[in-house]
Amino acid sequence: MIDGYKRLMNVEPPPAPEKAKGFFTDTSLCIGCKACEVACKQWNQLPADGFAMTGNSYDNTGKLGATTWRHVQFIEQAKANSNRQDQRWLMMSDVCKHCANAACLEACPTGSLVRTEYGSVYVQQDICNGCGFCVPACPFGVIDRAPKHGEFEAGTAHKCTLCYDRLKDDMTPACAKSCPTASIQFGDVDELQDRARRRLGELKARGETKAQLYGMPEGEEASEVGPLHAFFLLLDKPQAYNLPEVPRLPRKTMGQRYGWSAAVGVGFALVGALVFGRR
Amino acid sequence: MGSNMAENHPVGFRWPMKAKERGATIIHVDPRFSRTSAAANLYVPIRSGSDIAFLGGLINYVLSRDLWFKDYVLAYTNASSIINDQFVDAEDNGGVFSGYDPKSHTYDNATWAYAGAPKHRPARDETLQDPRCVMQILTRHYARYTPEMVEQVCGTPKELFLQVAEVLVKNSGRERTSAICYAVGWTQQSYGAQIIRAAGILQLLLGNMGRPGGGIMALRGHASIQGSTDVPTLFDLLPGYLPHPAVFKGDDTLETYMRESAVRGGYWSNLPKFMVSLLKAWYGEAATKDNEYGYQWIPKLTGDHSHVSTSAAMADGQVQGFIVFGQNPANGSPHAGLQRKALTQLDWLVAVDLYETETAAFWYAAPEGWNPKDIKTEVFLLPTAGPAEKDGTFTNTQRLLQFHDKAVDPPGDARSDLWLVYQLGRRLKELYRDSTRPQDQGLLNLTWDYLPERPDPRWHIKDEPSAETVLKEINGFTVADRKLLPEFAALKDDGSTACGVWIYSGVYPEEGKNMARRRVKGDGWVSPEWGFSWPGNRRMLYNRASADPQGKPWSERKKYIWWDAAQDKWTGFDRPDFPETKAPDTPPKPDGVGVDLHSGSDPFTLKADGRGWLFAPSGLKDGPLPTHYEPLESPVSNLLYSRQDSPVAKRFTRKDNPISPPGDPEYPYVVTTYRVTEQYTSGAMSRWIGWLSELMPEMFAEISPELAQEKGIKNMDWIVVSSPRNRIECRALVTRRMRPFRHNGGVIHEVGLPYHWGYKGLVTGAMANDLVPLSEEPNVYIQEDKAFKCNIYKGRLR
Amino acid sequence: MGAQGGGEGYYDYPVVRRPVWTWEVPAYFWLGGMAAGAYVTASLAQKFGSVDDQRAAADGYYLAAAALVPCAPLLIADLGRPERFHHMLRIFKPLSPMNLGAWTLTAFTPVAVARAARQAADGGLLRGPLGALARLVPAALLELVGSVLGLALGGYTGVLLAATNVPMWAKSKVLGGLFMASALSSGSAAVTLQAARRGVPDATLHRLATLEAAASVGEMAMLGGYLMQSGKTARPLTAGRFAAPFWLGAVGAGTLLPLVLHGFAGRRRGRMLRSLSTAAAVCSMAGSLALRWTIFEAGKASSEDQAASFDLSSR
Repeated sequence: MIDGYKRLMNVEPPPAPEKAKGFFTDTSLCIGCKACEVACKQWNQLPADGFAMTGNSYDNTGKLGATTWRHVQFIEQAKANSNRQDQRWLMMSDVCKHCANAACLEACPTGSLVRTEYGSVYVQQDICNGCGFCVPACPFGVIDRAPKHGEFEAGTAHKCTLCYDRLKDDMTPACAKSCPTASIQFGDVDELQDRARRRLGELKARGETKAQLYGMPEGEEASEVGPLHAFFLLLDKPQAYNLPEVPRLPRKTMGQRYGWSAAVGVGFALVGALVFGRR
Repeated sequence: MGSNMAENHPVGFRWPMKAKERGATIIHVDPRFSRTSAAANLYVPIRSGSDIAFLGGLINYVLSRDLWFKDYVLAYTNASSIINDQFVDAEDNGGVFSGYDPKSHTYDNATWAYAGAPKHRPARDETLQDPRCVMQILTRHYARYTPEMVEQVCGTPKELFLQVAEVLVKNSGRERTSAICYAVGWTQQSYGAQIIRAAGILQLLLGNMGRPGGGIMALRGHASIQGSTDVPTLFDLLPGYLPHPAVFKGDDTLETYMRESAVRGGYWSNLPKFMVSLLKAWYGEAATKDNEYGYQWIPKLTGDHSHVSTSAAMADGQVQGFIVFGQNPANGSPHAGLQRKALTQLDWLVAVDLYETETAAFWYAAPEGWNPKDIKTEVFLLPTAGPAEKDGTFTNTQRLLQFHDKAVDPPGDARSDLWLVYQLGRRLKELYRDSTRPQDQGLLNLTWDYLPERPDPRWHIKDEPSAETVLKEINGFTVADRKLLPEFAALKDDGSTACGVWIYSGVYPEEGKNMARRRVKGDGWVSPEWGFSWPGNRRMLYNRASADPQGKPWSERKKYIWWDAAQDKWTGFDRPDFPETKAPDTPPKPDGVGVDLHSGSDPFTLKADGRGWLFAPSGLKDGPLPTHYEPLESPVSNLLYSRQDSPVAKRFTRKDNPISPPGDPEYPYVVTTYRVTEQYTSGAMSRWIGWLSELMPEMFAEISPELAQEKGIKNMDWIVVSSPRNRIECRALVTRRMRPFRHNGGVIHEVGLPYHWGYKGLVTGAMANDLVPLSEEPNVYIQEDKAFKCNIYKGRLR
Repeated sequence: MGAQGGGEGYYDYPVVRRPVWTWEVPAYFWLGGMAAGAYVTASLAQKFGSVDDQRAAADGYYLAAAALVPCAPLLIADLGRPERFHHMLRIFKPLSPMNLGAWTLTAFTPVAVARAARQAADGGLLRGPLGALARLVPAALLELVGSVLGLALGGYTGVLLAATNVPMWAKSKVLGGLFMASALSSGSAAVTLQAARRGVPDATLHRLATLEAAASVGEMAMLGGYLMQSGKTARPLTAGRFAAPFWLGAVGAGTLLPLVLHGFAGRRRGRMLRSLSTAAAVCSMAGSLALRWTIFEAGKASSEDQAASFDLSSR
């Protein structure tokens, strides 16, 4: 009977764990070519999202979504004066963070979202029933459900897979492979973290005072969601890139929330007992 | 400068980024703050069209402060050469050099020549004191190009300009070198070749030529556009930069052609070997000494048959048929409206492309709204193959040939360009088989056997010619036994060798050895076994200059090629671009031919005198020294000379090509056209791909907030951009990346227009090239679309 | 900055994604909550009340079963892949409120239906072999188990919304309590309504009304806490297009009006009492729907509020 249940529910034992793999996206090297966006879409055969200009610098795809798993931001900065003091054009290739404590994974009621042997967070397309809970759970607004009646994988949740299929064949994820300037670096997370610390030191020494890492184990942003397996070197504060200062993990406050709920329920039962018992 | 490398060469830009990480300073001089500017250490704004003033300013900075690399300049350039006393500099003549004929708008360059007899042995004054020596002329010519003048003309703040000068000088010399990269931002101006010349002068003065990390890098606009000039697709050149025979040059016979074209001094003295071998490759056994190796079968030029001129002639009904391979003039060429009109004047048009381009669809889809019934042109659209669907080579920006293999058959009836050309030739030969007319004999005698012995069993196309067979012909072989040649040094002028493109010789030196297939990473920075680099797999031209006159590296840090006295030969990391056993102290042979006329310390072997030319006594049609002119269509007057614009640029004065004069209130703004990473040229390849189209879906104009405010335009508003030629509508992208320029106390606004859109594809939009005037730079016949004029207003066309 | 927006973030793009759920979800929250409230009210009356109370409140079991019938279909309809609804039950993962809720609903529905069947059998509505079968149902056990499951069902929904990064759902800690209170007030109101309709003794009706009023007081307290904790984040609820249904429906009709009406009804008897109780109950139930719907929809709007997201995630 248990076997039958497992068959019905597609339950399989997980593969043996490997060293955690991830991305270090160094925005100081990004030239905004969007090769990562295109390579990702091509490899994963994701459709285009539509053809409308946004007027927001050179960003016409807006944000990550069910069919955009890499997205390049363009942040124009300059004083309004005629010599355009402090002019910068920051570019950043955003992606699923593959959090160590992933809100989407914890929210998932079906077990479709799993932690893979590479430490990445992965949506099993044959399991997901499109409940949509992971969508608002993610503090970064990454995962999304494809439209129910759309042409692409309708009704299930989608996000970066860390190119799980490529990793299985010892290949680098498509985005990192296509990045011409090594802004997207793929590798063992611990090794990438060391590299990132060194890189930050270099940039600071060069006078990039606003440079900071985002998603490292020691960072406050990792206090709830844990270290990000896809982490970033930023050239401005996280909010400039629409990144939350301290991304929230719903689990952290769930007990308290249930507590209030239970208190009301118990209170009602007590009042009920009193009211009816006083006859 | 003149390049937006990060956006248009993002893969190549990995190297500047790596250099930056290793401490190099990247400076971007450009009218717009682009993605390249964002990645650079220093962004320097410059008004479109003022590049020579800027570079002239740098030359003046180096000369006036005595910062030039003395040992290098004295030994390796023509600084000490003395110029003809008939020469009058533009400085002394209102911006025009001696020899100008105002009637024909051309120069006779006789007065620019070296004093004294032959070109290869000029009179010299090694003290550089003679007022007629190049160094003195150069110093006088650029004396007025001061930082203050640069600020006035270019709108570049003086401090920024000086910062550039300081960085450049600090990073040049024995221990350090600097490179200059350019692209069509320079070449697509009415004096593009002169801008490059200005950079050449600067790099020679700083000792940055022929040395690692130095040089001037031409970033080509497409994959293998370098190949298409090498082989070439240009009307005035034969393969390997041999001049095309022309009636007006008196190239009546092979002998006169070769006498006219070959130069006694320098490597070009070998031209007869290249030419005869080319004729043998083309005409095979039919080419004999008695029939001038078939020389007369080559059509002779009668005038300017460049793309722009041909389009103008076509618009006037003088062209009957047109075959367009991988080109999209209906929106990719200047004055695109005129280009489309020209297409309606044809009897037939063959468009060969991956998709139905604007050119192929002009007869029913052009914005002019023509009724197809009124179009007499018969249009054929031939579907072609993408790079992965055919074998072939790419020649990239640094002259590197890389062979690529077919991975998959093209879909349906699509065929490779090679197939189409080969089959067309085969059928034409068949059609003309019985012709005895002299003009058909060239076609009939053409060697045309490129089919492989057995078709490749993997592919369904069985009559595909072999690209490797073509490459072997390009490499060359001995006629008697068809043995492949090791390199072009083996070429003969007696008809015993055949070679399709002499500069590529060595790419296929023996059977089964296609050097362009090599992929050995090697030491990581020269990598001589990666692909094949012409000429003779040399990775750096004129690399003899990386050593001092005695043959020792200028510095340990920058060593590249040096004289190995123990072995009596040149050695180093690359193949020497110099006779390998010619010792540094070898004196010139006054009675010799070719490079024998040069000494062992004359590195520039292609030049008659073996020296780098600060002053160009010949070779250019628009002057021996770069001189600042305004673009043909400029809002302002030339602050440096009474001559407003290039005296010799071709203007195409015709009713449908009006030009707005300086100061015209109708068209007050400068406009410049460009590409963005997300789309590709006219969009013929990229606008059909959803993944690319979504990234840049709509045509837009970039304007500064200052201009936007002046015109009451908000971000994303529809605006109309007009030029004297046409009007287009697009979105406004208001951005501080654009800025107004100060010019001589006034303000000049610029409008930026990408040119990727058209009326076919997944995304469509207005065509920037509709606004561009027809014009030609005099040396290379390219249009000026990097600086012309427009007006804008908020609203839409209809 | 050029086209850059005025905020500190990336143009005006939201930080988090807008929930994809549609109207089925608040409808389910309302019905499920009411079922839970009715069941718990009925069970409290069974356990502690007089015979009249027991008889009057027993209709709560019918109400609970009836309200539960559309719940599962509503939830399934909201799924992106409805045919895979059973995947909710392939694992037991109480960490996920959605999974917990699915199990709770799955367990509570048969319990409520069974208890209703027993009621029907006892009341003579269900006869024959089915009636006989229904009489085998252990009523007391089901009342206890069902009440626990019911409280879980009424209590997890607010926590589910709050266990996201939607600012208006997650900012305050008491959304779970608020939804629980709303479930109990609407559920007890449903029982009161039915009792008033059936004409139970005034004392019983008073007791039901008192319980309902207590739930409303609790709801009001939770609402106050919710609004205070949410602060500016609740603006889409309190000031936007959902302001009217929220203030008039959820607050006015849902809590204030029932309390006022019950206050009036306090010393009344007979017809007047029944009318006032009916009105209060209807208001409470409608208010409960308004509360779920406005918080649900305004929450979706708040997911696009970049500043609220930054506030939620600030140090």
